[in-house]
Amino acid sequence: MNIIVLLKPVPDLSKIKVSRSKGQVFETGKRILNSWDRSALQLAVDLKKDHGGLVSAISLCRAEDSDILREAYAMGADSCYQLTDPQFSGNDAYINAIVLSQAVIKLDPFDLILCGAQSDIGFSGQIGPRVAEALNVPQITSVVSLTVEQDIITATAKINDKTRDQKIKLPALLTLDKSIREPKIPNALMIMKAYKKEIVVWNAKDLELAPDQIGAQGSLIKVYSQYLVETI
Amino acid sequence: MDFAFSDELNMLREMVHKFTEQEIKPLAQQIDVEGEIPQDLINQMAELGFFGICFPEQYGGAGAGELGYCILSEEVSRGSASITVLIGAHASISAMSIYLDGTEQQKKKYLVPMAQGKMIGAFALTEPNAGSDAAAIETTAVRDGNQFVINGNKIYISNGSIADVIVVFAVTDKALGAHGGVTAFIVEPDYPGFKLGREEDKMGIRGTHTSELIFEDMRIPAENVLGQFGAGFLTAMKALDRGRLGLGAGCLGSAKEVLAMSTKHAKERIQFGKPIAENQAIQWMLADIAIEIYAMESMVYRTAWMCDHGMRFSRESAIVKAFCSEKSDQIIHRAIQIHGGIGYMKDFPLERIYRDSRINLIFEGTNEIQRMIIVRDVMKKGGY
Repeated sequence: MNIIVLLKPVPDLSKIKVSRSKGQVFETGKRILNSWDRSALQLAVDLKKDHGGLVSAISLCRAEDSDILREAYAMGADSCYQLTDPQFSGNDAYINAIVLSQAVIKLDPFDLILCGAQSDIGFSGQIGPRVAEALNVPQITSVVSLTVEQDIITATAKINDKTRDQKIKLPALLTLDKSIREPKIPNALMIMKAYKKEIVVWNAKDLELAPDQIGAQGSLIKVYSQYLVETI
Repeated sequence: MDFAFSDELNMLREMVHKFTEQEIKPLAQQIDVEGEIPQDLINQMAELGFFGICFPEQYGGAGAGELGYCILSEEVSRGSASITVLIGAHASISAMSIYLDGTEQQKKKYLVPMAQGKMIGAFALTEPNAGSDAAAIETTAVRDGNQFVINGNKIYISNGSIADVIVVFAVTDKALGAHGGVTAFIVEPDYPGFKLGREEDKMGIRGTHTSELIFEDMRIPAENVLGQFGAGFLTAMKALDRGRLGLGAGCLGSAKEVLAMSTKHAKERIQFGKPIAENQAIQWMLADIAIEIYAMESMVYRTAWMCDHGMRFSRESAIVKAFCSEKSDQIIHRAIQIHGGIGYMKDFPLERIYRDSRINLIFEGTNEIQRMIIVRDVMKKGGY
């Protein structure tokens, strides 16, 4: 089973500083792997152990965020792809999903795409469903448990307090609840090897995306201003 | 000059730090009280590669070198010194002896499972009449056909009663003395004539097993000679150079941990209407600790770098051992002073950390022996 996992870097919430007088939020540390995606990656590695195949990790991120892909290698990914280009700055969720799906198309055929149901920041939960739509594959969102039998996945999804069982035929995309797996701490050897492996870097041109399709220009959402909400 | 750690070593530190916070710290008091490190915790550490972090991948290790080992030692020491000693006695001196001087066959048979944490190692040098004077060992090994017959006693052996592999030093030619007359042997505890003696009841590092080993006509195969026949003392000294360095890294971890605890306490403890951190007496103690930690950290990692670059570092590792063990002892003493009454109570980890730290001035060669090593070098060079 060939699995693709989508990974997002997020600010380290323990290292964020808020300036109320300036109305700004400052990141003081390096970005880290979204904890929901880390659980998705652990599931991918576990599924590979049980069903064979390869795990590929893709991240749309800034050049300096490549450590999250090193972590993916340390956790057991077989190949990592970094989608980075200054022109991606200002992408909204719609364009991010287009960029990610272009990368998926460029890769070998897949059986399953996994990603966290949301991120530690933002919580919009749009990327998974949008990528599934862009690739025209079926999807189940907010999955808390699953079983795989040949090319059929039976998944339990949890929305608020209610659960729902669904079957889906591969290839498919699942967005996962964080509870799906407790990520394992990577071992020392995998860490030491992680930095010796290649991260394939693709920019907008590699993904055959024109400047007017990406960034603020291609995005459907325009951001005019940002402000801090008063705490209650 | 570049003092930065590589990206992989930084990630390694994050990993060990996280494991220490999540898994070791919650068990540290239990380990001290019950005198046992839970097997489940040992298994988890084996899985993560802690027992062979410094050895190359081909021997079952992680290939992180001495820098990686010192990072591990520093970080786990923030949780439990018993864990540091378990791993130190195993990897830094026992498995290290086999790595440095073992044959390929011995490495395959012993080092690989040791690095994987499937076999635990011990290093048996000290005897009732040979502590600091290590060259005065009385345990003998006599050849009998394709075997050696070993007789004698070893005492204060860390991991002694739990070890699957023990590196034992014995006199093979008394007339030749330490250099030429001592040979290292690889011993398995199920060899006939091997007996466990007294299990020590210690002041600190109570989660470790410190044991007496008795050899009564213990027969071992001749192929278990480790290194060159008669060159065992050299094997011991080379391994101890690394052991002393790792010990210093452990002291650094304890010092950093108690500085963090002391700073937190000083900010939170209100006396005379203000946090005690606002008192200059407390501030100076915290500053002094930070100064000493900077010196410890600098010397530990510089020496580890020397080791990884194949440079001689015997003098430096003696300096690291003496300085870091004494400074961490003083730092913990000061940390208890900053904490006041609570620091003295068994409910609070400082009491355990204080007891654990004391051994660092004694084992792996007392600090007086370290000074002998250092001054021998000073005399030879006429200075530093």
